[in-house]
Amino acid sequence: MAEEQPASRIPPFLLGALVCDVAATDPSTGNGKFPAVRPMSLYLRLTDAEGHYPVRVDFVHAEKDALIARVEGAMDAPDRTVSIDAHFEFPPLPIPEAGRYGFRIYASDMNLGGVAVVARLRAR
Amino acid sequence: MPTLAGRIQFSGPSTVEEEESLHPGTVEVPAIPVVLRESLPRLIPAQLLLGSLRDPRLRIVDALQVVISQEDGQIVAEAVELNEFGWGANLGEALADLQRTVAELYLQLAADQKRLGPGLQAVWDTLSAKIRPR
Repeated sequence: MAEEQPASRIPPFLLGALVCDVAATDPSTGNGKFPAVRPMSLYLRLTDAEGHYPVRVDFVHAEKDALIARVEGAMDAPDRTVSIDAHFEFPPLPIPEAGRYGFRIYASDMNLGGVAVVARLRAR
Repeated sequence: MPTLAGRIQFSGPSTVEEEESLHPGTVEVPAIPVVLRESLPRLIPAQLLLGSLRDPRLRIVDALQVVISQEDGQIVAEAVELNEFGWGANLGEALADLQRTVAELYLQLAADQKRLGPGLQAVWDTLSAKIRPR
């Protein structure tokens, strides 16, 4: 059995977080509607990390603090002076209604920040 | 009415992929780590560790302990070691308010550290042990 590594307590510095998705209009209606689902991916760049980190990313309805999806993984950083790139590709994520959503990023249960997503219908 | 879960399309183990880092660090993501939820539970932890101030001038070197509570319909985030508070309509707003408050306090005390009384000196000692300029 693999020995569980202790989680590093050194807070990584989140240099940047970007959400990428595909801009498209529903061809059946010519317009978007809610609830909707969107494929999204999250790109992170971190530095000042050293050691082993359990990593968690929560996708939430920010206005309601409602958890929609969670991805968990692990990160190993050998050297605080380098930067680390990570790319999380989510399956289509439910967007129940217009509003503010966001990805919240945690390493070793430390909140590193996040990135906001605003969902709204495109004006016709 | 179809449920949200009914609208979710899974594409199997490849739904989450890890890209090779351009740098020496590694990120490992398990095969099927995504948990999609049909209901939307509120996610307000009783406490969390704050590892960022969202201020490019500052970085946290020792995570701040934050206790989350609700008061008059607002979310309150308290950095217990500093006795500083952030308020907001949701967790994100409360944390952002707390981060702004702590960053401003750090910068203000850093500028005045030669003239601090005993109370503020104790706050500065805690702040300077946990936060560093970048």
